[in-house]
Amino acid sequence: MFEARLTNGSILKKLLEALKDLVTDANIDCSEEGLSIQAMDSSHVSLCAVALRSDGFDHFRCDRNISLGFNSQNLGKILKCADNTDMITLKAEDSADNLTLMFESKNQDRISDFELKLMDIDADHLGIPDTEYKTTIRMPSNEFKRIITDLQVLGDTCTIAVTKEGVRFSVTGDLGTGNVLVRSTNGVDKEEEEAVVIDMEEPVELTFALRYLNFFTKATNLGPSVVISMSPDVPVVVEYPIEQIGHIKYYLAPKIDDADE
Amino acid sequence: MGIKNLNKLLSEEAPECMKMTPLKALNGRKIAIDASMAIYQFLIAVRQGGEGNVHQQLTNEAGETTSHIQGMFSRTVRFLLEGIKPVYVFDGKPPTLKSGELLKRREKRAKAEAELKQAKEEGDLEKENQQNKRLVRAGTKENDDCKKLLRLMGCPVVEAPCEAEAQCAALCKEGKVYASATEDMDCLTFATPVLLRKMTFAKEAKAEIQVLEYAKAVKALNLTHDEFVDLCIMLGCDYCDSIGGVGPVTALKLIKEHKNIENVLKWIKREGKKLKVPDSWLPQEEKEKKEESEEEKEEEVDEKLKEVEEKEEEEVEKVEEKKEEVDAENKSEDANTTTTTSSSPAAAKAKAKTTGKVEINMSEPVYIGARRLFKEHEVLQDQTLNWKDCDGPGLTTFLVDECGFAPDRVASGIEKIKKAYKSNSKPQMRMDSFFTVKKAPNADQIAKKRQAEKDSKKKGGKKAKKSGSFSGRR
Repeated sequence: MFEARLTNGSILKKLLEALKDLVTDANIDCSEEGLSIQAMDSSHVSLCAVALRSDGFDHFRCDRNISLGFNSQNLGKILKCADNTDMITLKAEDSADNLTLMFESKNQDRISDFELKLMDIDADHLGIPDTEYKTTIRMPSNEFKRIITDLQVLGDTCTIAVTKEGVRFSVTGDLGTGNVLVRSTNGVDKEEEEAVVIDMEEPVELTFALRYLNFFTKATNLGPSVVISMSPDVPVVVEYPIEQIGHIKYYLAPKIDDADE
Repeated sequence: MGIKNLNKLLSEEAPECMKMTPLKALNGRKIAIDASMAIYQFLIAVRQGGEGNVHQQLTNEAGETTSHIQGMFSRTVRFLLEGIKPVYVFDGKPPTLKSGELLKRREKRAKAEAELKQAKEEGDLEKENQQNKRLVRAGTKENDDCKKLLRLMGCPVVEAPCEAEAQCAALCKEGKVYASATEDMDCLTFATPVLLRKMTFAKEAKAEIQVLEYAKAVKALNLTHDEFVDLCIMLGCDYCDSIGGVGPVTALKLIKEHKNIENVLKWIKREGKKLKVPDSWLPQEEKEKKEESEEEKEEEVDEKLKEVEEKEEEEVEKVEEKKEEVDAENKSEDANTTTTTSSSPAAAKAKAKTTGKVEINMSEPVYIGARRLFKEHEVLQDQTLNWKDCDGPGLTTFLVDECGFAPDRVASGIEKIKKAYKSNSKPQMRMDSFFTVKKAPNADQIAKKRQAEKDSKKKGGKKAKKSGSFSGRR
């Protein structure tokens, strides 16, 4: 038996918005610790990992570890039926073929429930080691979104370079070139959420497909800030912390000069 | 061709080794493609002429077939655009053990010829088209055309000393490529780690590819590699006959019980089972020397044909003159052993070291020879595979001037290759090149479910077939 209730149901709605363009099918893995989702896009270039801790829920019960395989478009459609202020409860039996979603409006005057057919998803699961990254950038999530949207006008590949100066996002395309330099706001009086904090051990420069970075910015509504971690020649991590409950992390493999050429 | 019923057996007994994936998921992968298989598919499928006509192969002004060139060109462009790096592997000399199989194919061919003649006389268009397709053959010229085209396109070409499937598997095992692509199931018997099938893109949008994983297959069948090879021989391969009256299910059961063919044969003898063991399987028996195949290139014809035939596409062919041409060519090839196909492996041998030279000893049971072919096939190792930029002017000369393709189509193709090459200079890495694949949290759940399904199916099957099963007492 699995049951989880979230007063702030909008988190789940936003989470699905953040997933559904990138990932077609995925598993919600439920355990005592909470819920997690790991899935890759169809090209296996990026990976998305969601973790929601059990203590972030208002009620959480999971007797046995289970995996609930869902189609993200379909789950998204059902979650669209919930209001932003609704309380959402997820329910599933141990060996169930359905996931029950219950939406309760704030003053309890409307209660709706939906059942989503589950599927068996037999996808590759990747082991992601805990790594220390050479640079970490914390910045407002909408600022990051704006940069990516702007750069996409010019081309499809973007270079992110972190130096002492700051973070430089550059793009080259048929139209021309573009650069956005973001400086650290250290010492300047600003709200924590609006600050740009750059933590750099050594300079890093990596190249990425903008298409995927754009998919990642769909998570902007989940939190005010985004944390970007990079090391040379490994995937970038774009993490959106979700207040008091967990995070959604996106990994994107870089474009690297071919070694054999 | 390939291994009889292996696909069906795997889908029933080891469904976890098979998966359908979209073409996209292969982005960035290097793939070894069985070129001969592809050429046959094109010769059969790429045709013109609508309903009510005799379908014609594409030809240039001089009347030479260009279907295979057209097909190879557009499919390779498609691969490159998807970020796939193809290596084409061409067949070398067929192993001596295959001569029996080749003989059978020749007979079928003769039959098809006769039927074609009949169809023509009767004016049965549909039948004529069908038989025309059965008569397709890829000679040295077709192979050379494709090699030339691929080199101009900047794709590496590997000329296998023997069977192309074995070479594909070897490249894959060495880690030079991610997977082998052929319809031929015996690639799996050669233990290619990953086999891709149905890479034909007949239907543009729904390009789903079947992925078979060797490791998962043997694990699910609970067999070792040696046992798996013996199982494939019992199912029926290209290299020798199989035991009469033993179907896939029985073959699997016998191999599981007795571990290898020798023990199975002993058991058959001991129990006095009435199974038809081919003469050639009996040890030390003087067997009639199978006539040496004089036609080196008589490859896979009818069987390949049959497989592809059901597939796609309109179109037809012209035939008789073309056929004569090819035949004439093959004859000259027979007379002259230093043709490209047969001599190139020898030349390549000087460069790369080869392994597993297979000698055929006629006095031993034929399945031992087949087993050796599967385990120590003659292949090239340490091949260097380079993907270069395409030779635009060269391609234009070849395709437009020599083959008579429309210049604008060729130009747009070249543009696409250039674009793909450019984006490949800084290739997109894949997630699994950084993080290792591990067991999914739901792996056990799914395995259990599958087992349950299998069991319930078996129960149902047994009920339906109370007696008459092979294991029943006589």
